Amino acid sequence: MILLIHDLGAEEAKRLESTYATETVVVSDDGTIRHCVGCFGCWTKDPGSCVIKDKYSDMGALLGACTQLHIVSRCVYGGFSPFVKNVLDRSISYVHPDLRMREGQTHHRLRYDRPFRISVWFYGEGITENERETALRLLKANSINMGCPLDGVRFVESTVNLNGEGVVSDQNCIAQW
Amino acid sequence: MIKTALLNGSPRGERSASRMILDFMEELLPKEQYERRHFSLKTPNIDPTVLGEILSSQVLLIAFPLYVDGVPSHMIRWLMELERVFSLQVKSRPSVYALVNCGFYEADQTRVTLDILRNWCERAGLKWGQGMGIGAGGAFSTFRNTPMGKWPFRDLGGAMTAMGLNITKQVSGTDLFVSPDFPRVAYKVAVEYSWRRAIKHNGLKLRDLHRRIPLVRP
Repeated sequence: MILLIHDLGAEEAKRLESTYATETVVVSDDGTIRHCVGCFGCWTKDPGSCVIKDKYSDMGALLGACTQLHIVSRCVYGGFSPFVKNVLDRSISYVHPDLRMREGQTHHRLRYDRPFRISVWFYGEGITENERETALRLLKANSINMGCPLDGVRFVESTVNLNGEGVVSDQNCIAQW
Repeated sequence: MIKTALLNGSPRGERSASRMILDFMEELLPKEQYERRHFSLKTPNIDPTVLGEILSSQVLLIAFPLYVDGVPSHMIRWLMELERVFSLQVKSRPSVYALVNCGFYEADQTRVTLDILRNWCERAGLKWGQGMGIGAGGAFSTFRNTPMGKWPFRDLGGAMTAMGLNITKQVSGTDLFVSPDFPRVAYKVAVEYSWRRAIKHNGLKLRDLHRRIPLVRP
């Protein structure tokens, strides 16, 4: 299963989503998402689920079940857009609260056995070199933290030509990590 | 008086490690010279009054916790709005000093986030002063009543004093990365014990800590 998280508006979202196969779960912005309040309830009150019960409360389980994670996000200062970051902030139940050493640093133990692979498309006009460099380092950190290999990242000015199947297979367009 | 806004980006507000860190920094800024005001940016809702206070400040001191290797989402909304309004403002713009604490032992894990803030400063036309990454943020609640500069915050106290000096001289400095004065293994043991205590306190079994949620399709 592919998990697609994006922050696109209705028209662009419809076009992009139509290019994906049926085995895809889409997480998009309907304006109802609430922000993480740092309660750690997803580790100690209802382990594995966010205690804020809205349509984004089972992100940990979704990540645990997917084989590929596709993220399409506006590049904001070299990071994700508020919506995409909100989804990721609400996803920490994917990991276990205990700590383990990975690549010489402490990271969270993984709750699920099977890692997914990550592909990211950052879009926006005038993304600076510093922002690109920051974004690449951010994704590397995410990849280590979630214990998931990064397939690649691509920076685009516009989302018009993004195509679910195309971008997955078009490895030439993805900077290999 | 130098108008200084101490911005707490933790959703936990007054009870947060970020607030403790800002309180420590506040003490290093002489109240005869600095008008120090705290503002909580704990939600994504932009408060126009707070926005106005930030716009008219000469120094911004921002503290928040690391969320998934980056800036918490509600803070990104604030940064974007601040970029928009600072871009419209032609008068002098404040210097930015930032303190990011993370739950991992290694303060270095905040480095990317400090770069995100630096990129924000570039977009908003603000002067980057200095950043500080603080590791083992989980220790702050345990040592809530420990003065800065005393164990386990000796190294942190030194780093904060250095940043405080840069603020008072209105100069920039290289980013600092510091963790409390105890070994990594001790932090790991203490953190994992705290999760087990919390889960029992919530009426669950220890095995629930490892729970996996089966995906139920809508």
